[in-house]
Amino acid sequence: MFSPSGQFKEIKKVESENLSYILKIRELEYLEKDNIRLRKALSFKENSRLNLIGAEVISFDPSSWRRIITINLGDQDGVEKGLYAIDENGWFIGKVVNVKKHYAQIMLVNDPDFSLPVFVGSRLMGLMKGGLSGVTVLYIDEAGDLKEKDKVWVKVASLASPIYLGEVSRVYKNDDDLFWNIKVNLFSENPFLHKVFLVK
Amino acid sequence: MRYDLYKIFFSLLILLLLDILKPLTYSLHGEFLIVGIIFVFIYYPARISLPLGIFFSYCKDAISINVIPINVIEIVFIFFLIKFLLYRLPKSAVRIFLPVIALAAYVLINCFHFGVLSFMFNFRFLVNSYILFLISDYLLRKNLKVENPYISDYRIIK
Repeated sequence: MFSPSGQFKEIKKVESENLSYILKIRELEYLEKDNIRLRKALSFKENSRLNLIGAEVISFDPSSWRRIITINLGDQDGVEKGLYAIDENGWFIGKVVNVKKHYAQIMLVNDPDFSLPVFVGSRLMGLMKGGLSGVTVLYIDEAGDLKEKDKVWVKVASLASPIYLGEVSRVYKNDDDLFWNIKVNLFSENPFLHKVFLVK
Repeated sequence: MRYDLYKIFFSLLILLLLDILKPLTYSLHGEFLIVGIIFVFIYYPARISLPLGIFFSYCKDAISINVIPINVIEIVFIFFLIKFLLYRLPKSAVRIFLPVIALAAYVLINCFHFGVLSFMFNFRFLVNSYILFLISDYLLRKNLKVENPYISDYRIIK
């Protein structure tokens, strides 16, 4: 128990549990609001068991124009392509794009090739496009209800509450565009990324 | 002149590892390997510098998720650019402007390949990489045998 590797495992376990509690609290707050609104109409929804896999970042893509990290877990540890990755604070940071037996690669949200369908505010949907100079949500139908500081989020089946990516910083539309675009301020902007958690 | 090939090779290998491990993660907007390769292109003859440059850029492509070997193509282009300018720029300008021009070419090619047209990002990359070049230039010239670039390649290109 007092060996360095034993303590390290203990630290990883505690960090995983801590993040589970943070996400659980957010989930309960979200459910409380929902419950007040639909108390008589909806049947009670059981909280699903949250499954987080903690991983260490072992290397980065050598190009400065890519934002791809390699983690120390792979297929044999239960990692699958398409899993979402979050940081220690529960903010979305990327998704798994490549899985091998002992390692996997995660494309971060600000990689130029990153794209993901997301929700904005309470009901709008769009396509989030990554970029080194900032992240944008494209193809928003109507921006009538949208305002600054509205949350951008994704839904995961195993979690009742959403996972947040960031908030709206600017809503704009070019003259010859059919759709609105949104500039997003990401919540997770920590440049010193060493640990990630995968949501199953 | 005898060159310590193994020293050059291991220096570039360490620079590649620094790019992969990124000790400062994404807070540093520069690449160590390209800086080392530009150094080798300026100070070493073509028969040594080009194969080394191609080898290490191929390693970088193998690790990256790129579909085409863009780094190998870039390195060959930068090699010819450096050799073209090396004997056309004034002596005093070589140490200052040649690395900047080579890095600017590298930035431009990556810009268009990845579709990143952000001036701030590219400018930060250029500045950080140039500072890395100055530091690497000082450290590598102390430890490696380098020649005056005006003497080493003239006979070979002729």
